[in-house]
Amino acid sequence: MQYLQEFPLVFFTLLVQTAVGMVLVGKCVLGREADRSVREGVRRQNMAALLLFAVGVLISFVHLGTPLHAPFTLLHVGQSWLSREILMVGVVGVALLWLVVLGRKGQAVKSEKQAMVLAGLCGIALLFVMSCVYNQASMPGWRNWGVFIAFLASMCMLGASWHAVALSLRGDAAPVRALGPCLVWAVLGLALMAVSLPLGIPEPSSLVNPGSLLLPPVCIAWSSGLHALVSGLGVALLALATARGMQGRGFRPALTVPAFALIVLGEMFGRLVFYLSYSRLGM
Amino acid sequence: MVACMDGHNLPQGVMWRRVAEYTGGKWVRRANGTYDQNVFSYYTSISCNHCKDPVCVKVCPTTAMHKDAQGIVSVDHDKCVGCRYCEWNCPYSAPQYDKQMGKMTKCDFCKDRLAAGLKPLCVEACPMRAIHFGEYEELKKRFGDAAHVAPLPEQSLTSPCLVITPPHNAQPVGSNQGSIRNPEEM
Repeated sequence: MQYLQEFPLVFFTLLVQTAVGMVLVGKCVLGREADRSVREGVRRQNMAALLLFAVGVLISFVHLGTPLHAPFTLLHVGQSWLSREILMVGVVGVALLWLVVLGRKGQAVKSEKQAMVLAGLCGIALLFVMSCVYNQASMPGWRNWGVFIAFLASMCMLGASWHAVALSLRGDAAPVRALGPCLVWAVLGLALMAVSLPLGIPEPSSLVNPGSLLLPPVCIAWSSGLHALVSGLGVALLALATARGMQGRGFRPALTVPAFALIVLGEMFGRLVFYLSYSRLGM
Repeated sequence: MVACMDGHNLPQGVMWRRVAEYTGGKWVRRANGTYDQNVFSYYTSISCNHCKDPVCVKVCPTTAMHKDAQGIVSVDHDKCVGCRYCEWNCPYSAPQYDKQMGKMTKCDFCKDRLAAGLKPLCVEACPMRAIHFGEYEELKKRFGDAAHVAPLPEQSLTSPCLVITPPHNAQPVGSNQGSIRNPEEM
């Protein structure tokens, strides 16, 4: 495996996880509120989620040597987790599209919320299947629940910070009630990341040939620490912005945009380290 | 390795057979001032083992990687999407990516030569006559059911159709006493 060969997968996984997070956080931002402007705002973000998802899927084609053979990837759903992942990408894509169509048609809030829950659950199922692609017997570094937890962490933090930016861009019109869910999801993501990172550092003794690691475990540990620091700073900045918003001192992009940028940077770096932590038993 | 690359006209970097030099050990000073050593070094020449339970076939999303009636694992280029997932999973690095083709390639046991009644190229070319081929059960009868050696993985991962006569200083599977000293050739 060459270094950086999996770069398209960094974007694909992060964009898909952001889109799923946006739908789930959006459902919480909507809450029980029937306020028209909040509904319109969430609908716009659902559309953005579909767009990000589509971009992610398109980028994943760059990773393929023969993209025209992509339809064949659905032929082995019975045994191959990669085939199942591609099937689930289709399912989530349809769920997001349905959500956007419902919004455009101006359907009742209830059915729109149900569609968001359904799309979010399908998204979590996709993340699970996605993690199973890496959780394979011959790849000991990824042979644990850490991968799934890491994907959930990215989903929470990226989805929450995206919505925080969208809300802050509304200026004083941002409903204070909607700020709480963004922070809760972001903190949940940070907690999940704290659980997943130690699981991602391979135990050298588990490898037949330690030379099969692209990065030495010490380097992975330090890089994971840097990942946690950058993403953690982003969440801290988001917490500061939320606290100011709740005190009536304004929910400003001046804080939420840097918070989002830090989280995106942290997650991109973390995902790159994840792919470089690839190790395999044998030769 | 060279005969295989030459015979199959493989591009640079695509190696269906690879020879790993596995080396380890050290010199230890005794109480009387003399030295003793447990240095070891040996080679494993490995291509696809056409495993009984091939992980590459299991994980391939397109079913391009398949096992035929003769037990030979090969790639159907009309289906391969070039995702390289088999390369990630195979503990023997058997599937090799051909950049120009955008597809996976691998040892197909010189199917064409076998059909013509000839031996595979690696068997024919080995100057030490150290590589043999044939029915797995017959090879086991002839060479014994020898355990695999480091740096090969546990047989339980894929049940490879491979018999090895271990050198006297061979390290057991799972040992981390040595390392592959020619990684650039792997």
